[in-house]
Amino acid sequence: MLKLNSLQKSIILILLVVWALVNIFPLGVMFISGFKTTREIFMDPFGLPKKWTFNSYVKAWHVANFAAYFKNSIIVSLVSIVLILFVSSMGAYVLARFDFPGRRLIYLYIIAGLVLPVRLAIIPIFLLIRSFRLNDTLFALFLVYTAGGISFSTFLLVNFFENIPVDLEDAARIDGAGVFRIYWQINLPLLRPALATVTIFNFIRVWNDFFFPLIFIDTDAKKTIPLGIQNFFGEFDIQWDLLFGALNIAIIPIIIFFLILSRQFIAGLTEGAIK
Amino acid sequence: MKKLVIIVLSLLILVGSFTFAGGKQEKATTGQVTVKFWGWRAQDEAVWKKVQAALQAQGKNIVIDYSTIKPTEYDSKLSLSLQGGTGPDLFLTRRLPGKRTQGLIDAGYIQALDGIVDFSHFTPTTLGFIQSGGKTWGVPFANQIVGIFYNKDIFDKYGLTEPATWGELLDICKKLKSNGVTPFMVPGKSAWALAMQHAMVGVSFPGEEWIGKVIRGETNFMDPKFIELNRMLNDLKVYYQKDFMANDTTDMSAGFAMGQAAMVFYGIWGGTRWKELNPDFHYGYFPVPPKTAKEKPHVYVYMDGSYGLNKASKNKEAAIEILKFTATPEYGKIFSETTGEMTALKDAELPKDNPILLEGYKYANTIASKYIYWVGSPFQKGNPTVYEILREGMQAMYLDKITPEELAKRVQDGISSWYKPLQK
Amino acid sequence: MVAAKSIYKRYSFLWMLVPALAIYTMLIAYPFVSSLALSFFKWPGIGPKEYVGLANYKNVLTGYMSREFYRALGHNVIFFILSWLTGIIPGLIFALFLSAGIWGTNFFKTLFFIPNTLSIVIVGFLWSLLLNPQWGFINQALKIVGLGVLAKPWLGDTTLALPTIILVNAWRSMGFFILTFLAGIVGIDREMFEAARIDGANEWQIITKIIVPQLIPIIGTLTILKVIWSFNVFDIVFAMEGTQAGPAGSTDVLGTLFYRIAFGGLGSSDVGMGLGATVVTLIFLIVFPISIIYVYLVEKRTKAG
Repeated sequence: MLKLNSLQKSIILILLVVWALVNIFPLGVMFISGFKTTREIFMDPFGLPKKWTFNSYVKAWHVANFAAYFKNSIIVSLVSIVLILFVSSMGAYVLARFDFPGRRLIYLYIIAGLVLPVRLAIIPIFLLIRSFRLNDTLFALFLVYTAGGISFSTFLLVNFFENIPVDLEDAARIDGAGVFRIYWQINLPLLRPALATVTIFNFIRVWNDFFFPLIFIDTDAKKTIPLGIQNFFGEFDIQWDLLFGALNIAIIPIIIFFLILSRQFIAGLTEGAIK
Repeated sequence: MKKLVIIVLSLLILVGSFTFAGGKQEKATTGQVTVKFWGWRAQDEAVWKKVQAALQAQGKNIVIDYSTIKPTEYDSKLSLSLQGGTGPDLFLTRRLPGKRTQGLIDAGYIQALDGIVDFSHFTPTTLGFIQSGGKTWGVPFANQIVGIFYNKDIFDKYGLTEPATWGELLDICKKLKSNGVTPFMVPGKSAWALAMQHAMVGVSFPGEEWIGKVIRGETNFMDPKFIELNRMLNDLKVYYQKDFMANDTTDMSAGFAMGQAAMVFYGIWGGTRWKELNPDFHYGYFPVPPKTAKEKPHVYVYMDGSYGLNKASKNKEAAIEILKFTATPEYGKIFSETTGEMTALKDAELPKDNPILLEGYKYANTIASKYIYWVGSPFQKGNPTVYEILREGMQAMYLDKITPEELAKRVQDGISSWYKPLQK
Repeated sequence: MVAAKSIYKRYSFLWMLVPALAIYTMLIAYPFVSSLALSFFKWPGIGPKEYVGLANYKNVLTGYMSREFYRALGHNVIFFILSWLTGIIPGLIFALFLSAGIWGTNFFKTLFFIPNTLSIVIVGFLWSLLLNPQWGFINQALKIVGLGVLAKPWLGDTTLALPTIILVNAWRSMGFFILTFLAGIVGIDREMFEAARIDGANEWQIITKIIVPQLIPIIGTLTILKVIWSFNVFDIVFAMEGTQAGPAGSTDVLGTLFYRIAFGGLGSSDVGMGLGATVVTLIFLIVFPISIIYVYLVEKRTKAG
């Protein structure tokens, strides 16, 4: 876009490399330290480990319930995302396609949630979950994450629906298909790019959330990764080899996942802001 | 999109395999009861393994699922989970008087244990720290003794001996510093440990009699002696490690055990940690020395806390079995042997191979201060407590935000706002 | 009868709106209203509620809680200002760099975004290890290269702790700002550049006269998002300084203050759900007007686009 001479280009390239190093370095230190013993980390922070062993990974995996944390994080993300996709796309379809009294008002009511940070309402949510006896269950998380994702997802999907031509539905309507079938069979497939954005956006939000598990989950076997890590840091505060091992276990899979899907990730996260 | 579908499918398979792997471990034998137990003490993990074995040897099929929560986050997490109607069956509670435990009692989350557990193996003083409203709210576990712990190898190397006065302590610091050794490792980031440091020095200077006078209202915290105490502490910080305000107790333990400093102000419970970090570590203990040789040193001894029972527990029967066991001398022995701390049980057999522990008992029985401020004192009963004021106040003084006089004034103003004897 | 049936049939599609509406109302809209109501009561979380009128607000705004409250509020304001400066400006600069068509742009884009995919608490824990004064990588590295004087107690100094946390936060969120700006720059009509060049504009003028003005709406949106995020910050402070937000309360923000008040624990002068709801309502009153502007802008832009 900009036309620059080669000197300018090299300066920019150097600055980009510097910033890239700032990004990579902490993660690199984390990765290498995961192979060291606590003593090595303390006394020889820059050296490579004397022996490259997976000891700290294995130990961290065993002393903490990481298999359960991963399982819970995956389940919570999947269930919440499926629920969000389903209820938001249905709602968005109705809001985008049909005219009925109060349509505009309902739409504004829902997108007002874009700016109501859910955690500010935590006390009543906590009381509500308690009255349902859902404390210390993953259901509590499904509910709050689904609720918290509806506004953004509906907003995005309504916009998208408005760009899908209505003509496509006419043929189906003549065939006598019901509203739900038209939505399900005709619109949903066309909505795929938008659904991907919604999925990624909510995945990052749910996967990384710490606050709600902190409030709702007690039992170790029901913890998600961020809460599990927090607990781990409290318990093994001095065993830095284990701490780095645990951080690696928590971080590396998500980075790999991101590298595979980086285009979708970036679109999913930036779309909301510039849309 | 296709990629996304493939990934979702592989995640599902992964979940399946985790479930399978988890399923194998969690398989419970019939009739087995798992009791959920929360505490802030990581060193107790081994204690509960032994208790579980002892109970199972008695034919009681109970599994103790003990989990540790960081001490500074413990109280909010516990209260949150009890409020949520779930919570652990058993949990550690802080001593009384204190808002944290009293709050849980008032809200009806803790079950009183009178008539359920036999408390005959505890002294009335010990039990007094977990009683309120005429009821006993937990089974006490330990009496703690705090003071100065030192690295024996470093002391030997420079020909140093345990000091008898504050002046001698300063001489030791000077000598160490001139030899490039950090005299003290202090956890400035752990505000509670600073409050504790203040309180443990306070029993030796101005001393227990003076504290008794404050409690009775015969003097107050603006007394020049109290200001002098603040100043002594503030002047001592030149002998702390560099940037000590950024270190917490974890760093302190690591630094002390790895020989990076000669002394710490801490409690007897730190020992397990230090030995774990460095099995060859040799350390000793001495009470904080008084100002002059004319005065006697005193030690700060306090009941640490107790095991409480969740009123809403679904495994009450098994939980009570555990509590009953923790009130027997047999448990006291297990506890002291495993943690190296002083069990709260009065007639437990003492481990012979732990000199520090035996020394602790000796001091606790001879020179324990009769009057104290900080935890377990009358200054904890109102709002704000002396603990709260000292926590932030000590950090502020060490950071040069306030002077020793201002710290004294903060304590005086805060306590006299509700403590009748000081309102004159 | 027939008419009723036909109305029913006419609006039968509305059921598809019900699930979203119900979940949203139950777990978002109702709790917000309920939180407001709760702020007029004294309630420890169990037992009967006691109506106290505006007493909670009085205690927080002018009473014994006010010192803690204004201190925390001040830290949120600092958080916003510093995180704006360390987020928006470098974000824009790096986005311009990436738009210059330099080798490896896609590689840098991906790489810069990595920290953004990580959980804030995990980032906080990682950095608190790296920033440990004795054994942390940062101070050890500074000492080795002869900059030992710069090796500070990052998280243990009352003036440094908050800026340090903000920088860690900037480290994590920079990728988001860079890529949002980049998407904005790419969206600018290229013909505007060509026209300017024909008129003799140099590249610097293109940046200041065309690109930046075109990005103003995005800057506005990101600023509003920053306000909302800054007044809700909790995770990173919790991970790096705990709920007591030390040292000496120097990193205490409204989020940590609220957590201590609402759910109890060490380090708050008073606790209670009603008092907690009061703090939340006050946070909300600060954020809401700004949020309204955001919704308005987003709405306007989607209508235009």
